[in-house]
This record gives sequence, C-alpha cells and structure tokens, in this order.
Amino acid sequence: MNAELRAAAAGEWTRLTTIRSTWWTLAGAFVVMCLTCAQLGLIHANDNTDDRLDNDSGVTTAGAIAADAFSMGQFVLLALVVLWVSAEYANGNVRWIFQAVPVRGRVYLAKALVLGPVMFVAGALLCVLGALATYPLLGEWGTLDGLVGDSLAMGAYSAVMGVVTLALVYLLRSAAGALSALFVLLVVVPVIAMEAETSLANGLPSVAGTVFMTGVSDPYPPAVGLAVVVGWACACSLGALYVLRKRDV
Amino acid sequence: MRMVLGLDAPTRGSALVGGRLYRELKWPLREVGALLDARAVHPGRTGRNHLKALARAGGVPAGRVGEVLEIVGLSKAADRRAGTYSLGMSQRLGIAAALLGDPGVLLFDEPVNGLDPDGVRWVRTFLRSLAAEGRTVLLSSHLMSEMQMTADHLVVIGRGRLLADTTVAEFVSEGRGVRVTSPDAAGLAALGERLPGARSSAPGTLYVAGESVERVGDLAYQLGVRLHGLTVEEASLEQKYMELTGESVEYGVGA
Repeated sequence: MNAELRAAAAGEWTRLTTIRSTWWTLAGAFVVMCLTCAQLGLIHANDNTDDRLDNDSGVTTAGAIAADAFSMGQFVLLALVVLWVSAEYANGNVRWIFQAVPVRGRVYLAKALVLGPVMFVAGALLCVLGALATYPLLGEWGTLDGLVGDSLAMGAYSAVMGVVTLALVYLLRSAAGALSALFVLLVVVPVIAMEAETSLANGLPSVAGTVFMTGVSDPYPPAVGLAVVVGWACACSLGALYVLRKRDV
Repeated sequence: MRMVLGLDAPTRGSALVGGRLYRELKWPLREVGALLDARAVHPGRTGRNHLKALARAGGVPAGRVGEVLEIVGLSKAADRRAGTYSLGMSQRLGIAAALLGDPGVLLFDEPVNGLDPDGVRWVRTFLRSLAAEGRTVLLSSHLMSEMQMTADHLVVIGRGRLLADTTVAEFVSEGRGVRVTSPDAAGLAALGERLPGARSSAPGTLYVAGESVERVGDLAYQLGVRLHGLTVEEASLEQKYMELTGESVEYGVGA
C-alpha cells in the first residue's frame, strides 16, 4: 500500500467513525439480530415440542439460527454503508474528498479497505451475540457447536457484501435508491427466481451467501458460495469505478 | 474552477495547475486550496473532525488542523457539529480547509455571498492578507463593488469567452473623465471647444473623457471660466462590466 492510499484510507476511517449514523446502524443491527435470533429460537423450540410431528427439525446450532436471522439483520448493517456514502453526495462533502484525493479509484479502494475489516468484525460479532441470544431459548434443541466457524463466515460475507453495497451507492448516489436496489437484489429477485424454480437463484449473492454461511453443500460447496458473492463485489466495483471516472461530481 | 479541480470534465481543452492536471498532483491539498461551497460538509460531523479527515487524506500533518482553526478564528466552535454553524462560520471552516495544506494557490468561489457586513469585511481583508503573503488568490464573484475593493487583476468571462484580462485599475480607468460644472454657459461652451473629449451632459455641466483634472482646471483658469465644480469621475467596475458583457449575457432581460 503506497503512502497516498494509506493516507486516503486514514481519512476514510476518520470519516466513517465521526458520524453518528455509523454507530446508530451498528447498534440497530445488534438489536435486530438479537431480537430476530430470540424469536427464531423460540419458534424452533416450539416446533419441536408441540403436538405436530411434521414440523420437528430436531437439534440445531445457535450459529445456524443466527445465519437465518441475518437475512434480516444484514439490511441494518449494510445501511451503515449506504448512509455513510450517500450522505456525502447529499451534502456535497464528496467534492472535498475528491479535492484531497483526486484519483477516484483511490477513494473507492480506501473506502473498501476501511469497510472490509469493519464489516468483518461487525458481522462476526453479530453472529456471536445472536447465537448467545438464541441459545438459552433453544434449550435442549440447540448447541453452540461450530460457532467460531459460523461467525467467521458471517464476518466474511458481511465484508464482501459491504463492498457490493459500496458499489451500489456509488452507482446510484442516493440512500433510497441504494437501499431499494439492495432489497430487490437480496430478497425480491431470489424469491421470484425460486418461485419460477430456475437455477438462476443460485447465482444471486444472498442465496450464495446463505450456502456459504450455513455450510450446506447444495447446490454447490460453501466455498463456491463465497466465490459467487466475491464475484458480485468485483463486478459491481468495476461498474462503480467506471461511473466514478466518467461522471462529473 | 470545478474543471481546474477535476470535478467537472471540460467539453474541450484542459485545465492545468502549474502545468499539470489536478489529478496528477501527488498531494493536491498542499498545492491548491479551494473553497467551492462552504455548506458542503456533513452536518453531523464536527468542524475539527471534518478538517482532520481532510488532513489525513491529503497528507497534511494533524497539527495543522488546530493551526488553521486558529487562523480563521473558529477554535471555540471547532467541536460543535458543522450543521449548527452559521453561514459565516461555515465560510470560515471552508477557508480553514482550503488553507490546510498551506498551498501557494487558492481558489474561492463567491466567498462573500450571503455574509453579513462584518463577515464580508473579514473575508476581504483576510484574502488580501493571503495574497500579501505571496500566494496566488483566484476569486470569482458577481459582486462588482466587492471585486473593485479586493482584486488586483481582473478576468471577465461571459458565456465562456474571455472578455477582459487586465488590472482592475486599468479596467476602470478607461472610463475616467472630469466633470465640470459652471453657471457660465458661454464659458463652458468655449472650454468644450478646446477639449476633444468633451460633451455636455446637462445644462451647466460638461463631461470631459480621457483628460486629467489638472489640465481641465488650468484651461478653465486661462479662459477665465467661473467654476463651481471640478471632479474626477471613475467609472465603477460594475458600470464597466455591464458595458463589456452587454452583448454576451445569456439570459438578459429585453429593455
């Protein structure tokens, strides 16, 4: 990493940590994760103990519940990225950033370098806290087996999705646009694709992310799931870099 | 200015700073300081943190943040969120940011717009002092009276074309003349005949373009014309500007 990039990343770190939306979205993500995990834990324990037998799924891991809950929790976490970058376009601060660091690609890379570790740590912590929230409620139907691996996986998925989100905000330059795009990409399209029973759904980042985080080997191994998400991050980043260079600020 | 900073792409040609494109500068904040829009800061971030982020990204030592806050007199408000600043305070924060890298070239876009008289005065004297330190200060403004008081050199651009490139003194002096008032109509007419640039603007007044007040006064004395008034008249920058740009206004109102 050369001096200019290091400086740009240091500036972005200061920018990310000196706005309140960062801390609020982090806090919000933890609350949403814990509540969702608790709810899913209760449902799981209930399903196993009620009179019906067809919904019994036996013992599960707290990490699997957390991965399930994250399909909701990820939006709050990714909102951190959306609010951070879209605000810079809304209030014009982006022009100051480009005055200090005129190479657009360097700004993008600096932001990604800061986001990656932050999202990794946040995602891993969310997994652990969510698992701890659901574990007591699962009772005999839950274990903490494999939690370390699960949390690392959630961290990795969060880091890569953070970059996908970063690219979407640069492409759309508005909070509403980026959040809608994220929702469509992660929820609406997968649901439609699954309804249509096409294998197209397997190529979508949220589906691939679930395969990666839950460790099921269907339809492909977890590692391929991660590779698919990384592929999305690369493709979206290329698009973002293109428009960053082309467009006036 | 946005093209100079690489924020907008020119339709043709290129804008260079010291012979190089802005994006080719290694540490641009150390070479060019620019204030485009004082309100373009995150309202939730404190003034100090705004400067700190810029300093870190621009390769400027962190100690400089406190210095520039001191220079613009914003030290006390530095830890308040920028959204709570008045326009004058935002302007000071913007100037502080432009000065961060201690650059030799400074660009300011309409720096006094919307400021109260105190603020206008502060900006004017402050910009003059920056120029006196040997920096190049490029200022854009539509406030002609303000430019007349602040600027040395003048560039007038209308519809993307260069209309004038000269010193303020020269630009204004082209319209200089002498106004003579006298109750002696015959004497005034005689005076007018001897001066080629003279024309009678109203009964009892004569306007002589391109003459010095000494020569007109001496001539009146020679001819024995009784005078009530003898004044130098300088066209204001605004007047000259209107004359110059009269034909190149994009959205003019038909008279």
